[in-house]
This record gives sequence, C-alpha cells and structure tokens, in this order.
Amino acid sequence: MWDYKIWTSFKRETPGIAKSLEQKLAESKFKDPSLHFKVDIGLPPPRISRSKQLEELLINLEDTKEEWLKTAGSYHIKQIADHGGIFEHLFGDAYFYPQTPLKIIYETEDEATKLPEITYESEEKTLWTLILTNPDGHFIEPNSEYIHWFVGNIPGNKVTKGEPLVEYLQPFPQKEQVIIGLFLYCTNRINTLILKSLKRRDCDMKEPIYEYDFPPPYIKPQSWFPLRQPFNLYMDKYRDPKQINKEFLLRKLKNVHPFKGSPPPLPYPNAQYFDGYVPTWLKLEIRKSRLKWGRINDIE
Amino acid sequence: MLSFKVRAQVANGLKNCRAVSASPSNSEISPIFTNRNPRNLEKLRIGYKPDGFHVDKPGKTYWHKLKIKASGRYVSAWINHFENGEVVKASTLEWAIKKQLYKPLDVSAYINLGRVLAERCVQSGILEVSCNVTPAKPDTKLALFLKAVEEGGVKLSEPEQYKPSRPWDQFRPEKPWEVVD
Repeated sequence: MWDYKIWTSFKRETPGIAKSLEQKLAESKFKDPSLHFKVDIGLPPPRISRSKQLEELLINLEDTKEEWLKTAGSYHIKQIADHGGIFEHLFGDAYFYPQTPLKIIYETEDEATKLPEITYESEEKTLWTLILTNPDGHFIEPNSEYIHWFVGNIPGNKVTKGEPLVEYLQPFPQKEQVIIGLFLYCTNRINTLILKSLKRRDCDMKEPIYEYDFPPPYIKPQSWFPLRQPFNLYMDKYRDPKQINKEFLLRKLKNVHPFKGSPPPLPYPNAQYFDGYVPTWLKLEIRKSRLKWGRINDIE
Repeated sequence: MLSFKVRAQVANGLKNCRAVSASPSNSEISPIFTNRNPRNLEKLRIGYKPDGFHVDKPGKTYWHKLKIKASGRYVSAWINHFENGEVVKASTLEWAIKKQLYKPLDVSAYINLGRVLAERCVQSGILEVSCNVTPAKPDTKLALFLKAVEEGGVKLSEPEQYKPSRPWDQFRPEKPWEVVD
C-alpha cells in the first residue's frame, strides 16, 4: 500500500512555484555587485578628430608646380608678367604665352655672383638662345635694358655648350631699387625670376644713391587781400623756404654755446613762463619751436 | 615717369674689378634714374594707393588684396590689384591641385590652396597683401587657409602709403628708404 506519509516526504512545491534548476544555480553563483565589480586600469582609448586628420593631408608642392606649368601655368605667368609690365617694356605691343618652363638654380639663395644652373626640356637637334636681361636698371638711358647674359646656339638643353656672346654679369640693384625683375627668355620662351636680396657687386664704380623727387605741394596764387588768413602762416607759404630755414637756424644757434654745445632739451616744454606781454601768434610760434612742431623739423 | 636725383655717392670696396662695357663710371651716369617697373613705387611705399571715401566699407584701400570665394564644389583664391584686377590665382578646380586632393572643398583643400597660393605669390614677388576677411573662429576652414598663406611667407597686411610732408605739416614722418633694418 502506498503510504501517504512517505508520499508527503517526497512532495515538493508545484512547478511554477518551485525554483527551477537555472534559478537555483544562479542563486548559488550570486555575487554582490557592490563588492565584486571589474575596474578598467588601462589607458583611455585614442580620440581621433577627423578635421585634425584632414589638416595633415598636405599635397606635394613640387609635383603641383610641375603639373601647373604643364597646364594652366603659362596663362598665369603671362598674367603676372603683364602686371609687371614685362612684355610692354621688352617687346612693345607683342606678347606670348610662355611654353617652356626654365628651372634656374643658384648655388646659394642670397648670392647671384656665380652662374646659375639652368635646365629645361627640349629636343636634341634644336638650337636655342638664352638671354638674361634687366629692363629696369639702366643708369644712362631710361628706356634701355642691361643685358646680363647672352648665350647663342645652345644645342638642346646643354647651356654650357652654347656660344657665350655676353659673359654673365651678376645683377646689381641700386639702394632704392627694391625689386629686381630679371627675365630669361629662350628663343620665344620667357621665364621670370624675382631676386629678393642680392649682395652688391664689388666694382670700381661708386655706388650711386637716389632719392625720389616728389612734386612740390600745390599752393594757391597769392591774393592781394587774404581775408581771414593768419598773417604769419599765410606769408610763410610764399616766402623762400631757404630764408625761413635760415631764420630757424639762426634762432637755434643763438642759444648754442661755442664750447658747451646746445642746452639740454626742456623736460616739460609746455610748463615755461612767457616773459612779459607776448602776442598770441608769437606764443604759438614759441610753443611750436619748444615742442619741435612744424617747420623747425626741416633744420633739426 | 618716376625720377630720382643723385643725392650722395658712397665709395664701395675695390674687389674683383671687371671691365664691363655696360657699367659706366660715375661721371657718365645720369642724375635722373628711371625705373620702369610699375610695381617699384608700390614696393617703395610711395606708389598711389586709392584712399576711398570716408564712408566706404573698409577694404577699398589696397595695392594687392587677397580674395577667396567658395562655390558649391570648389574653392578659389586670388590676389587682386586695384588697377590690374586679378594677378595671381589658385583654385582647387585646377587639375594640378585637384589631382592630389581627396575632396576639393574640405579642410585639407583650403589648407593646400593657401600653401599653393602663397608659393605663387612669393615667386611673383608679392610678399605683402591686404586682407580684410576675418574668420569667425580660429579652427574654421578660412582661418586655416589664412594661416597657411602666412606660413607660406606672405604677410597679410600692407604698409600705408608714404605721402610727402608739406612744409607746414606738424610732423615729418620717417621716409621708408631711410629705415635701416
């Protein structure tokens, strides 16, 4: 007989209420997350900015220039040559688009005393002429050029095998002449070369120094009755400037001691008393001379 | 025509003398020296520079000015001269530049355009240009372009035109050719 007591000893909770095996295993493996957790002890991952990556993508400028000279370069060079008035001064009304780029390499950048190395592309059985000229630096005739180098009958691109008609002469900029444009042209090709700073050539000639001659300022014709004009300033405009400068110089030398030299400059030029009665126009003149304003600068 | 007058003559060292038919002695040279290069006076800071009207928006007074324009697909930059217009230009539209670019309108395109333009300017003798574009932030494309131009050796500001002082002027400003660097 089946004993009820034995049955109850085996009895468990009904499925649904009783825990499954999975739950029991999970319970037995349970670890408190507040005590057992993983910590990342490594370095932070690298952050890569796309814009920063793009900033580092630099193109090769030499390749770009080579390709440019083959494509749009000749048009651009003609544009800048026109800007410098090169075609106008060399050929008058004629112009052309340069087609053979010349590579001009000087040994050192700042010195052009020695012959440059010139390379260009050409076929072997062609003859070329190389001219280095400066249209802006003639000392005697204003509309002439100086020829710096002239090589004729160059076979192919071998410049050294050509016949030198004019030996190489290094560029000689004047003191006030900042820009030197030298133009090398091979038969009908042109190339511009701008030399920024060149050491002056040593030669037996003294270096001439020029100064720009500004046009004199316009002064309206003197009137018989200059109404509402300050008499001293108005009259000064029509006087000989040399005479005015002489007066300023005499006034200055009056205070200069022959052995001790000129007195020291006033520390506070405006804090000086005027002795006795001084008219306003003279006060202004004295103030101007103390502060070194106006015409006094011409003799200082 | 521009003319110069001989003011003084300074002796130079006597070395490596070379007889050149083109180089005259001092007695032969003319007292008036003419430089035909139209850019010479601008380099000397005495060439004419338009003043504009006093109510003009800034940016009318320049000899050379940097301009930049981006279309929907490409970006171009050029140097404008106040008389001759466009004189030096570069664009990502050009095959020479476009060939090496990934995209013709991204950050790298702007930077590389600046480098190329600066190289062309330096080789054309334009070392100072005026520029009145101001980028909104220092990390924009435009700012990086301007930075690349400056790093390429082109100064982004022009000196003022030197105007001769009249006898009745208060001050006598220093002449540009008397400044010794």
